[in-house]
Amino acid sequence: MDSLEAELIHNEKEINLVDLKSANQIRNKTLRRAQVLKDKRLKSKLKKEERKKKNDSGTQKNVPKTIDSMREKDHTMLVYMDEEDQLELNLELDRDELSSYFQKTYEPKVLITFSDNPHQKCRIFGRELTRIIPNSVSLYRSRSGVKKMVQSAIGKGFTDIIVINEDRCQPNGLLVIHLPEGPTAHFRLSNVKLTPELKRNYKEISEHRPEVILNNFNTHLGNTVSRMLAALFHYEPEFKGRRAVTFHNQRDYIFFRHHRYEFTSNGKAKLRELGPRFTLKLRSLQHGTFDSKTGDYEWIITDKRHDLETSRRRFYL
Amino acid sequence: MLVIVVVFNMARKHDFDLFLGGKTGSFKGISINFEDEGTKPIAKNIQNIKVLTKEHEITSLAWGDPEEIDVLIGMSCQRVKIYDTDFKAFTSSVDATCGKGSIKGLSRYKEKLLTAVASGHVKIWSHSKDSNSVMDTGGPIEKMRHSSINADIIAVGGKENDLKLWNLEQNTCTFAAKNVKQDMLQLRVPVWISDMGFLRDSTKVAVCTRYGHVRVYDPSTAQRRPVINMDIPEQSLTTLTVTNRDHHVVVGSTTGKIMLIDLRRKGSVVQHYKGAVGSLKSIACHKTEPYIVSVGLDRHILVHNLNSRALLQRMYMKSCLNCILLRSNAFLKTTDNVRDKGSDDDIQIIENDYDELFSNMETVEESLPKKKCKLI
Repeated sequence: MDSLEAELIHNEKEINLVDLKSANQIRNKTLRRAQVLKDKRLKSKLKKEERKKKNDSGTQKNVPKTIDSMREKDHTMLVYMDEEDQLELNLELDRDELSSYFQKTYEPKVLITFSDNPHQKCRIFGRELTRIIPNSVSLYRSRSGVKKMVQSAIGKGFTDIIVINEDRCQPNGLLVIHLPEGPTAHFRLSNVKLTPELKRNYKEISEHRPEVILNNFNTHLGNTVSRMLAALFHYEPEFKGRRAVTFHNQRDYIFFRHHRYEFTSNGKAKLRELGPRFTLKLRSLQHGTFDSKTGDYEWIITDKRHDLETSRRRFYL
Repeated sequence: MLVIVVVFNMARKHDFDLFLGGKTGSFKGISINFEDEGTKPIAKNIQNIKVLTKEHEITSLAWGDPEEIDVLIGMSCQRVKIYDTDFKAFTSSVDATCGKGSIKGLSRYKEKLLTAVASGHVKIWSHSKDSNSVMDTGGPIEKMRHSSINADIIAVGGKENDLKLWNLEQNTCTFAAKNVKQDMLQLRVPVWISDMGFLRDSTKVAVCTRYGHVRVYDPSTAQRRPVINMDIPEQSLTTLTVTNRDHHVVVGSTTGKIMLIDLRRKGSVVQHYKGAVGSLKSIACHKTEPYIVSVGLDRHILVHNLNSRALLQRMYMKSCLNCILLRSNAFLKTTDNVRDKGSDDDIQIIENDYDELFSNMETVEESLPKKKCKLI
């Protein structure tokens, strides 16, 4: 047995490679176990050394291939545009329904409402949204239709409506209507985590107007969606509150997070999540206010998912 | 001189295949060559986009003459611009204020301009001011179409305003459709005509509605109700175009469905054309070749083969598009075609308008590389 072990060690030293299989031939369990552990340690050590050598030599690091980084080329991307395209885009952005928000002509006032007879989670979620979105109220719908609601909300000076839909006591849909002339966006809502579920307290959330961070919206459609989401919030954040809400787009899923930040003395930022958190996925974008039957859709995914989702690396936002 | 003449001829024959009018007011020319796969499709903004305002939204496009030289451009501010494809310039801009709303239909009637606005007023514009005649067609209109068989007839229709045919000569309504019978629940079927088309070589008119119906009316008979009433459930149809086949029409919906419909017997959906993701605003069908071109709010122009359903071309056009105008000889760019049309007339034009030739030099240069390919 000893001679075998000695031979193994000798071999290792000679070729500087670890043969994990060789330990299998040791028939004593304790010794075999010890040998395996030793081999493993040696292997990781060698790996570490090799990595260090590679880093020191200054060769470029490999970029990991993710479906995000290998995204299929999309003509509607807003990068590398030539001058005329840029001009045309700017022209449209200056004229569309959301432009008056970006010209700061009005302060957003948001109505948050639910499907009929909302359950507890949905109601709490609505109330939490009112803490995030400044100048917003959450009201029960009392069996009013969306089209009717749109008309009365315009009369009362609201600029946006958010309707939270639910299924089996879980919020599952979010309808965002910009008033008075649209557009309307319908999102699938998932993974809603309320503040208590994140072990936080709503008292931590201050009254200050938050900063809005919109990440990674690259295409024309994504740009419209991000503008719609931005238009829910007041355009002047109160930086004193150090609150930030983030809409981060990744693979067409929009992740919402709510944080309070702090800069430490050594120049680093600390984040504390305040909650809630949820995920959105765009289902449709429609011109004008809500009209699901005869409204003009700019983009819709219903009952043609097979056409749109032809590739895992194809994204629309 | 001879060389220039040839180039000029070619420039004319190699003009844009189709024109697009956008929501922002952009007016684009598109040129696609299906025969030579090496050449890339060309898309160009004809209108300078810097000067556009919200009122410049193009809501209607039409040819100003049978030779397809003048393009009539109807805007939401009730102005009509005329673009000359020969000289590649806007030749005039006419104020067509009458009624309310944007221009929903445009045509040329006996060398006069014919406009229809959303409030339902149809007007024929002539040079002498007193002879202008306004017709109130009764009710809001969504679309006005001019019959290609009988130039006196126009068709209008809109929300709660069923199809009406008007005779421009006599200034009378020759046909007014009657709503279909009540449905199985004894409820009235709402009316919202979104588009219509005169079927080829017959007096029949096909309409599509926002509530998902395709109907065919026959004004030559006494029956005022549709002769074919077809239901496409869950779809809101926005646009209809007649194809080069007698019984077929193509319709487009708000959710991006393009369907070929056979109007024999009860009517049936024959084919779906894939690729559109947003509401379709206009579809055009080639007069002789099996091509259909469609545009809509998804900012793309799609070209399909009518028979094989193959998506031949898909181009991103940056802005939402409202209307499309297809040349009758679009996509046909064989060399024979060019030689055929090169006649003495063109030489004369050049000699007469020498200045205009030079003012058009730029566009000629642009189309040069393509021409070289053609010549060889």
